[in-house]
Amino acid sequence: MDEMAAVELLSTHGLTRQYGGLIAVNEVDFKLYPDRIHAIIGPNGAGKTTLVSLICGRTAPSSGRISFKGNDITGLSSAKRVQAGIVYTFQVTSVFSNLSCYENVALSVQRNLRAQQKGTSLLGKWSMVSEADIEQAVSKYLLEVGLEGVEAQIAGTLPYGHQKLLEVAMSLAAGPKLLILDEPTQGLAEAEIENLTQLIQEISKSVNVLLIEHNMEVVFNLADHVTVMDNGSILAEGTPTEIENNHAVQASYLGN
Amino acid sequence: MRKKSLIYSLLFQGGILLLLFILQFILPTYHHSSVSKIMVLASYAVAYNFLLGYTGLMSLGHAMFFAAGMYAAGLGIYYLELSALGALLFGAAFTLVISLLFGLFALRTSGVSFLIVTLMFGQTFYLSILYFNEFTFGQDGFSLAKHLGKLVIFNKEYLYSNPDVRYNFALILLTAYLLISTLIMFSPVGRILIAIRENESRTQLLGYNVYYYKLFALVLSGTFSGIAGAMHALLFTYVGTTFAEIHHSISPILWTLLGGAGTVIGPLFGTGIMYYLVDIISGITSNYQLVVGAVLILMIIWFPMGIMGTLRQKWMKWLP
Repeated sequence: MDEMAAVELLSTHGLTRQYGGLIAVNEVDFKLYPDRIHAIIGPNGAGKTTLVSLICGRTAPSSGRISFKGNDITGLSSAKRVQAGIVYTFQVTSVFSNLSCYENVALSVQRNLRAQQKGTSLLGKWSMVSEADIEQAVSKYLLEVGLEGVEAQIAGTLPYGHQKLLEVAMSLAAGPKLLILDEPTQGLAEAEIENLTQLIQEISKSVNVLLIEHNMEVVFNLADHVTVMDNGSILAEGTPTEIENNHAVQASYLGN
Repeated sequence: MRKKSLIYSLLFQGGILLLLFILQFILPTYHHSSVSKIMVLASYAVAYNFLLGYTGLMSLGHAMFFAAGMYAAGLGIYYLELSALGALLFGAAFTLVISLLFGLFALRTSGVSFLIVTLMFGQTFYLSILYFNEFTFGQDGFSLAKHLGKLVIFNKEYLYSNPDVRYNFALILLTAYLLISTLIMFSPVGRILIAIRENESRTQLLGYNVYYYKLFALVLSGTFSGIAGAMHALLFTYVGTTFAEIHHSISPILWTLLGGAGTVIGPLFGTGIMYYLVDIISGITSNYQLVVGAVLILMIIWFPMGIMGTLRQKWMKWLP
């Protein structure tokens, strides 16, 4: 695969985040190219989650720049970045646990539907979003992740694995250009992992996926490109096979 | 599912409002007047609940908005000789500006800091009324009876403080507030406000600028509180500092919590029950606040979600 010629979807330049004396992310130049699943791996505390938090705007950088589709997004709020298409899916599920599954997904759907409205009406764009359209879209996304029929159920009462799927449905409903999945398989059973792997494969046909993952089997199954982080810096990059054969990576992370 | 809930809740609220309409022909004078008062205060509580119950922001300074509307309307009538409608609009416009300015500052904080900031603003407003006593008549307040014109319906003149006028205007105000609250809560914007209450940072990460929606809720809640204050001035022809005091900021919290925060109709029940509770107990002992306090503690132990909140959880799942 020779994608190096392609224009990058997302890139960071000298991106740094310091917490007091600790440098969680250190001068990282990260590049993500479209149309492939990109995974970030690394030991605990390597700075993976901090890096994606910087990318999606949950955390402000100490220094450095981020650009997305050629535009500098360093100064944009996290809400603006979602509107631009960078959607983050939480490591620990963060659904609205007191609300129904329908409300959870509808919340995400309606923003996307509103953004698609052209022009303005007297009452503003919100009046142009109909509940019937929302309903239709909610069913579509729930079906896509394999959760059809749970609309009326309170999200907090779903089994953990299903909450993760609901989280994915909410992210898809936001209309992402880049979907960031932070340890999606953590805490899931074997069968659920297999199911989710297939789902991510399916999603990646239409959406760019950035995956943070501990489970190496999942990474090597899914990823087209892997970035290895250690101590806040990028240690190595390449195809899964290249990474597997990289001595530095083996020493720091893969163990033997 | 949502449409059915909307129809059920409009029918339910409509039934209660119809009951209130019929009650005016049955009630003896004393209760007739009490219920009018309850409906104006309940409108204030409905406005308050919009912020506390649906957006999850607790304010300790809402008396500022109520009093701002009341004083703007009252002073407008007194000095500018505004008509009743003019005074109402003036009160609304004034609180709109006040709550917008207040929101721009106060919403930079959240949680306990927000609570303290609202308290400080509320007290500042209260003390300002006292400080400018030459203009506001300070602690004594002032009566509008001699300054307010008459209401003309079908060529007949009525005083605004006429019991029937008072009752029906209070009912119209309450009806409007309940209807507007219900429609907003069933709209996409209502969904966002509830989401902010449930988990603010997650809402932000779904692409919503949370600040704007909180500002919207605050301005709406503040302005509606102000209109209730202006209406109170017109119907009871009196403007006074008791309505700017801290206890008038705390009252809507109690009414809302008792009736059920985050239910549209709850504040009406909370206000009504609390009003009569105080009314009855203060006839027996001057220490009525002690009994009210005890009732509230028991309430919070057994029904932490308030009356309507508990009913919703058990039976009326469609309740907004």
